[in-house]
Amino acid sequence: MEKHMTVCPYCGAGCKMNLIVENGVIVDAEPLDGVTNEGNLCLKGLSGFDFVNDTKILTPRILYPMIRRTKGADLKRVTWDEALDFTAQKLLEIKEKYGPDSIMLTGSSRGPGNEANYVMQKFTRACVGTNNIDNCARTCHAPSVIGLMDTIGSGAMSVSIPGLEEAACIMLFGYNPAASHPIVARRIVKAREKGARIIVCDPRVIETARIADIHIQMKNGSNLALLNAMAYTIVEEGLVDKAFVDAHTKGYESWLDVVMQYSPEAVEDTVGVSADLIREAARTYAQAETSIIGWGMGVTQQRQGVQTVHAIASLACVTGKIGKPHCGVAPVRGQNNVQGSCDMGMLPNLYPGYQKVGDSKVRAKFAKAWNVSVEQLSNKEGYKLTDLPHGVKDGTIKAFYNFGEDPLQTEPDSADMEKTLKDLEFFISQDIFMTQTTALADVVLPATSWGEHEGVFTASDRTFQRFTAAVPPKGECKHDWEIFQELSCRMGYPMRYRNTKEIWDEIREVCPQFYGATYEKMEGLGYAQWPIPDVDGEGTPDLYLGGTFNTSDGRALLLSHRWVAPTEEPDDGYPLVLCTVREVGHYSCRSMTGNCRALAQLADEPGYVHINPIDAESRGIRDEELVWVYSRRGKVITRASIDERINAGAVYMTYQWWIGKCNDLTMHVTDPLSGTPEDKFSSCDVASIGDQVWAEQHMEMLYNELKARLAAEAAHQDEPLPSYAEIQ
Amino acid sequence: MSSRSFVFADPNRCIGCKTCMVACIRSHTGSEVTGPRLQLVTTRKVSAPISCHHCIDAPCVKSCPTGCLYSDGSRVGIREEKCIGCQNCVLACPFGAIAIGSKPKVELFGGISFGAGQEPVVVKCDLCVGRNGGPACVEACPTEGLYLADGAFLSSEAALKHSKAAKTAESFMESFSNATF
Repeated sequence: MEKHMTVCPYCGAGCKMNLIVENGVIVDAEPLDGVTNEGNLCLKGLSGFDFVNDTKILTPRILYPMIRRTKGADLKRVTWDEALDFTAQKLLEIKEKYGPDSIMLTGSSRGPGNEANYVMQKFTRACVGTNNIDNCARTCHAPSVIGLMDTIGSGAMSVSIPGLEEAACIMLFGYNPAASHPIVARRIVKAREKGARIIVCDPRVIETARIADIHIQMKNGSNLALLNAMAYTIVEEGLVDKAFVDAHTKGYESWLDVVMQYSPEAVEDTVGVSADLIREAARTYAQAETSIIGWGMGVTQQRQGVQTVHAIASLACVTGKIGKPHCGVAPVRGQNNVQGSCDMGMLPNLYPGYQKVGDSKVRAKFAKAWNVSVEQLSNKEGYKLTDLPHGVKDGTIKAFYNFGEDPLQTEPDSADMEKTLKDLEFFISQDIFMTQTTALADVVLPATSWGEHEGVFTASDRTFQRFTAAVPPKGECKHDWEIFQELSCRMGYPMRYRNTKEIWDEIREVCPQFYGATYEKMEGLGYAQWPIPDVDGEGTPDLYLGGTFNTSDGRALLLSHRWVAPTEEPDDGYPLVLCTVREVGHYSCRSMTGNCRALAQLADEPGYVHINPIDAESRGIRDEELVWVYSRRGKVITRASIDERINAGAVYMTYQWWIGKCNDLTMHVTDPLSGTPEDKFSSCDVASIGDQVWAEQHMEMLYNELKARLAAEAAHQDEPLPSYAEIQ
Repeated sequence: MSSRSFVFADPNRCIGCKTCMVACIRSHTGSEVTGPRLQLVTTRKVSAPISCHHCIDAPCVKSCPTGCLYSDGSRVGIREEKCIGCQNCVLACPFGAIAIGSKPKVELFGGISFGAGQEPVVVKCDLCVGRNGGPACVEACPTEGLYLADGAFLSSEAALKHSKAAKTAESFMESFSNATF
């Protein structure tokens, strides 16, 4: 038996753990005493490892390279040389014919790690010659990154995960830590036991609402109205920290103009709670010694995501609830390395270390480090991931390189996304599983999985931690960074890294904020929390201490905005609000957790639509029955869970299910400032199904068909390689 | 004092994360019974996993016609081979902590075993009997919200309540202080 140290590959909590290996197979996992998890793991950490072993419960691993020699042909297993030559030649042809900006790439915020992402963006910028690189933060916390950079200068959590436990007040806004980050929720339970006041603003009775001092059970889509009313209360009741505002902020007067139009009494109908409750929450937040606002997708996946983040950051600034320990803002990241993807510059406007692509000094620095001329680095901001559908439609995007993502499952309006991927001239998918997305690719490149490679992840609170390999790569899987490097060499920009440490050391050199995070420091349970400009110490748990912000003049910019109603409000045809949420035992597109025995046993297709008892009764729906959910985009079958924690007039579906797939129903409308979809609000209806026996059989049939289709695509890799004579 | 124990959740600490349920499945790896032996239950106000209380005068044992469920000095145990799937125990349990599952049936014929469909089996908490460190769910709970309510736990809880109850006497202590009996 061997033990190999790693970091959990699921949420952004950054839990350290051991993988236990017997005879070359991962058989168990155990928690380690990491800085964020203190010897704890949740259900995904404890039992989310066996997907590595290619269990084929949901869909097979891809172990050999495959290509479609012509569009629409069957996948064929080929050698790595042929796959890479083919890919390089196609990309060069497209670049020659349509220009570098016709090629779009997406990074992976999951298992690959920071080094692989860094090499991919370097390939994108220095070899392809475009800034068309993005990552799944676009669908989640991009509004937080943009909104916080606008106001306080850095897009990350200003506090640390351990620091949550020390706050005197925690306000959770559109954030359900118990489902998204159980090991962060643990800190909130502990904070409460230490006497912290807990405020929850959420339309549902989420777990933390149950134990909160104040629960504002607001209407869906009323975020900005509520935040403005809290700001109004703070001004009217004299709770503004004037000294902090004068010394460390600007824009107070224009901020005030908007918020003074939102008295709590005036927004009672919009928010759906009493003015007194709003006032009490505002007072509690402002009067506590230290307060932290945590938020999640309930803030960002909305029409006014960026503007809501402006309001949150401004609220923290006017009350002086930022700039001291255990006090600040906490946009907690959903994927294990989504903070890392952003750190590594998998963003169309930023180089690694949040350095702007439009800044000529920054470009000159990277040109020198990467040994290219400044002219070779594009000064134009690239496309966002959510620009892909219309980019393909209007012919500006011709090729798409998908790295470890499953947009067909995770992006809104799947039917439209499927058409987008099929209409591409050339589509590359580099992944570990035959997902619904990979099944459409012209080139399938098999990468090593978490557990088979090493590197550095960034936890949600800016903590860099190393993870190691536990088992050797399966089949012919290559490390992600090796694949990019070999492709880059073939396309005329040679890279010659020998290991992840060489890559990491280059990252440290080009990103001053990360310089002190050496591999040696992160050995074992070691960690480094950026900014860490020097090799001494463990970095910076709390940002902006003393009120110095990362803006050009060191002051925070206060911003406020008027509330606007959501895009697609319920009507007679579609009277319910549809909101997409998380399943605690599954993760993202479910390709990983769906292939884990215990997790699949605990929850499987078609998932649930959670519905209030009143809405269920009026539709004749009984608990656990299969039902139809339909919207203007489509119709899916799922199971009803009649749940008194759900507000009447809204239903909730988790986005992991491949049959009960809520993204067949959601719409592709995005916040214009961030390109993030409005996944938290669209309209739908639910209908009962009379013949439950038929419904169960139908659901089972759809599931079996999907699994069989993916298995058949993956089976092409088991075909023998053509002999040399045949190739000639 | 009873020597019986059961797994008990503090709803103030439970975050509904189902880590206990996965720990249960994992600690029974190799068993033919699939699924967890405790179930998270959520109401508007409470989240807590529900599992067998190992009652001293257990209704499930009394309702079992075959002796599959039995009560010994420390717990309510199961003789799996005796289960006929009658579901009396499911109805009898006041906590809803018992379910009937299925497991592959194996028949021996001339010394060779054959798969013979499915057979019923009682699914409920066995307190991870024989496991080092006690019940896996208690060990795994990330918020330390699950306890093995054993004799020591129950008497310390009782002691806490005794002292709370004694405190309530403070309010009328004075009225007795000068009393003569």
